[in-house]
Amino acid sequence: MPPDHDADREDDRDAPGAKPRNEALAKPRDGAGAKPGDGAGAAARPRGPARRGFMALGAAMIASPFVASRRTSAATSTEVLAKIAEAALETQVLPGHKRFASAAAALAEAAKGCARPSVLRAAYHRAFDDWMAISHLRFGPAEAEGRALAVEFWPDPRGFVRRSVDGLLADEDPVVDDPEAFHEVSVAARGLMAVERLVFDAGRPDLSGGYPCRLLAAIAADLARTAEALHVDWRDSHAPDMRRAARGEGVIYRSVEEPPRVLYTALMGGARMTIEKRLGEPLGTFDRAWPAKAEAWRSARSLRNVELSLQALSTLAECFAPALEPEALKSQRAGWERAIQLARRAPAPLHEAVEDPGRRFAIESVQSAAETARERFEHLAGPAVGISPGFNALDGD
Amino acid sequence: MDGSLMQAAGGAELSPALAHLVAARLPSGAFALVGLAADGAELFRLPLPDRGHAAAVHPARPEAVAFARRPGTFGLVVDLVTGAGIARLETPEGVHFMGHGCISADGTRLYTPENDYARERGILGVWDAADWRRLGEIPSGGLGPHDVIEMADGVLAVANGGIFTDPAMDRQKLNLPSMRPSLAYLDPRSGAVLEAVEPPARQASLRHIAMRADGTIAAAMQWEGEAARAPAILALHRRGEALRLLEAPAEAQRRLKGYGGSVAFSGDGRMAAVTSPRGGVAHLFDVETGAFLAEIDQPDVCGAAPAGAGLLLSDGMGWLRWIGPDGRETARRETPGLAWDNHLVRAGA
Repeated sequence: MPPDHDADREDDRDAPGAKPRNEALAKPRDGAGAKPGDGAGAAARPRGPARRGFMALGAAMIASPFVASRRTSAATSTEVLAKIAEAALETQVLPGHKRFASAAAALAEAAKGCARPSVLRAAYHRAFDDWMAISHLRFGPAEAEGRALAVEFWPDPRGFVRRSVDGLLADEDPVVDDPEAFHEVSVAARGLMAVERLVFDAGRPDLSGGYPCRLLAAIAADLARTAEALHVDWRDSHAPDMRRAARGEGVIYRSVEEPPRVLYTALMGGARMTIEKRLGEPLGTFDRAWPAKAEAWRSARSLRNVELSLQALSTLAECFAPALEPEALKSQRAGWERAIQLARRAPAPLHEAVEDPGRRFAIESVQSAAETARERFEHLAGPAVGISPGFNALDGD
Repeated sequence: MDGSLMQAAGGAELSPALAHLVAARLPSGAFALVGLAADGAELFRLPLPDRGHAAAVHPARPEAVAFARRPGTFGLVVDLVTGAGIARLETPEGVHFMGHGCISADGTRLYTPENDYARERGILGVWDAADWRRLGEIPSGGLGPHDVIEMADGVLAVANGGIFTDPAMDRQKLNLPSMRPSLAYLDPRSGAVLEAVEPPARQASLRHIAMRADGTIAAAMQWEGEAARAPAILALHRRGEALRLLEAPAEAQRRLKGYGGSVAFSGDGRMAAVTSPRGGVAHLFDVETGAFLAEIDQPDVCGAAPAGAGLLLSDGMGWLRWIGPDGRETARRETPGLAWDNHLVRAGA
């Protein structure tokens, strides 16, 4: 499992862009400026104990475009939607979080008392590898308490990780001896990037004992706790609920459409992260590359993270196969495969390659192949699951 | 349907028809501040340089300030009659707007919630509403101040979301485990916190507020914990009292997805509404009893404002819907291809 970390790699987070698709509401269009009380409209649902002055309007609701618009495109059956979610749970979500929790626990074990550097490094790489298999799943358990960022604080253009970790080191802050308190320190001082700072940075402290060792142990223990919480939340709460959603009995996922939609959104966000951040940030412009913006370049993981993230996205994309026609499926598989191949062959380390006109081209090819794969997926799978991103729902403000 | 509003809009020069202002994305992809008549007819579209969020309306002059979407740095003062830009407000270095602001009832001051990310603190920018100079700033009483309202006695009610962000990291939330949202009442001169209440659940980012004529504040929150465990996201508060949380029965409550996008009182002050674009629903509550009155299905609904005795709701699909004081829809109107952005602002409230 520990990677041959000759290559360098990176990772990121999602920022799904909202594209307008108004056809959903446009269907049963009632002309602009309908008159008050013209009957067709009332979609207010009286609920709860207080109904004074509120009429039950069940029949009118059904005619409302606001309700009708929630339906997924008729093409994809309930059964197919449920299959997509089940495949994602089985092939990626559940095993992926279990592996990551176990890798993070192993890293915590190695950090306790500060193992030999080679052991620490191997445990770090294994944990990062396993994180890359699930890092794009940034909803639900990963969204709660900002856990995704607490696992990996990146991108970090302002150098918050260095600042926060160095601050703790300089003060020998006793917060490291209290796991509850440490769980609330700045997310930048927690997670994989903080471990990287202590274990791989050129200016790393002496980890053979003393405060730096206690700090490393605290970071790794906290990371293990976060990874375990992600695993448990998925296992005990979100996965069972996604399965109940297939029968319309979900509590978190309210309909059979919701799980494939959040998975789709996660996939698109993860793809943008790899294209725009993991690759785009260090590539910068032709005149000015930004090697230090590469993800986890100190531990030479930037390119490996690109490859692993593309593999993870491809695995998730494959779960949508039941919704695709054979030709579409072939085309979208080929898209991911090509991007993964190019990433595998690209010259590592990425943060050096982007500055070398001769090798930079290979990195750009990975980026463009990844964008092609992403566009194909958007084009082919989006309509199948009735995606119509909300302008306000995605804004989050 | 909005006779009272038009009078309230005051100034004789002000288009008598103007009822609401709302930021929007146009079919072309460009952004604008749109003026709406009481029946939703568009009176004007003023171009904005980037995506907007909310606006502040001058109580006497036909002027409004349109704010950039967070973390934007522009505030555009526009003449609501001619459509001309009057001034462009720019935040100082290391500071950005949060998308909201309010102008004092006497028309002399504009207050803008701002993120002073360079110094990792929340502030209110204070501007001269006559010549639009920046006069200074006061502390907001918390991190991530988002919305502000001036009360009848001049005290400022501020929704401090409690979340620290840095524009270099997009909108990523950097302090979720330790966040402390609050509804703070500030002395407008010193920024001294006269009173502050915090939601019982610390991860409920108290983000948007509305005020009823009697000074009751309604606050909408956004839950940063796991959606399945989301608590109430609507609260009512009166100075000197405890926060009252309003919640629908469990099944309906879950549909909000722990996300309150906007909050408003009905024109008659008897209902409070919270919208959830993520859930595609708006919930209406009785202000006096706290009882849950109705749920309204509307995909991507976010904007909410008083209209007549009832409410107006807007969404990202281009729809406007009017809700009467009985909680029933009374009218609707669509502008195909246009997306109404987060907030509706009553003009001349």
